[in-house]
Amino acid sequence: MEPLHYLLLSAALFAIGVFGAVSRRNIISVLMAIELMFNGANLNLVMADKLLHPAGSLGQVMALFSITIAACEAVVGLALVLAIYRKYDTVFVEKFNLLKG
Amino acid sequence: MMQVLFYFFAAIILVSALGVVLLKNVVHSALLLGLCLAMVAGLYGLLSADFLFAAQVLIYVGAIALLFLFVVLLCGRRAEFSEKPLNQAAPAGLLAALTALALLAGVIVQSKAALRLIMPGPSQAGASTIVSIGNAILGPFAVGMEIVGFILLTALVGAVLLTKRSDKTGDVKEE
Repeated sequence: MEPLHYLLLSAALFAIGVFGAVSRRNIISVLMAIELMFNGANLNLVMADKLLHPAGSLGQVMALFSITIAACEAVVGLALVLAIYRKYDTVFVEKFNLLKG
Repeated sequence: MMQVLFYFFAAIILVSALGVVLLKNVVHSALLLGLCLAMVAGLYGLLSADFLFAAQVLIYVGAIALLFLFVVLLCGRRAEFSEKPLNQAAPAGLLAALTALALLAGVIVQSKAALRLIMPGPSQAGASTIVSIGNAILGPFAVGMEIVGFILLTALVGAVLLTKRSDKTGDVKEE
């Protein structure tokens, strides 16, 4: 049954993204894993739109908004990475301890 | 044919996503991220979401994956590519990911019967979604689209402000 497989694939993509976001050391890879999670959610939205609302495309509009917000997030996140890299000269998250008590 | 294409895309998506989170070299991760996003675009094509297909290729593959490559170019070091890629929280991360996957997969498999009830017939082939998406974002979602435009502008200004060098030492602006 194919819709089920789409949903399972998006769940797997999300889980891979969770793993990467928690356990990568390089902050650029953490941002990449967050993009994977966004893609899992978008795939789920499009599939749910096809299942629940086959005549229109409102779920695709939601996925479009999600893609736009993901682009904003990636741009601001990478700008922060560049700023932090200039200050600390590293991209490893365990060195970023400015707020550590 | 659709089935074969779906499993082809799904296999490439899973393998390349695992490569993104497991490979040491960030350049390889960024390239595999581009491949994974392109294959997701292929799935959108299979679901006859043609506008999203174009948006995914233009925004994700064309802009975001390339942006990641540029940032790796700007702040990657060859010496750091050979260090271990995962931190000490990796087992906890694996546990969290497996728990999330088990929960989601459990719910999805449970809803199999309900899914079969609302299984749509094959959608009208060749009908473009661009008209309905355009009507939606200029009709009921017009406020949302304006807000998204404002967020894009904010992100643009924020990215310029954050990456601007304020003085010779290269520190970011403090105030």
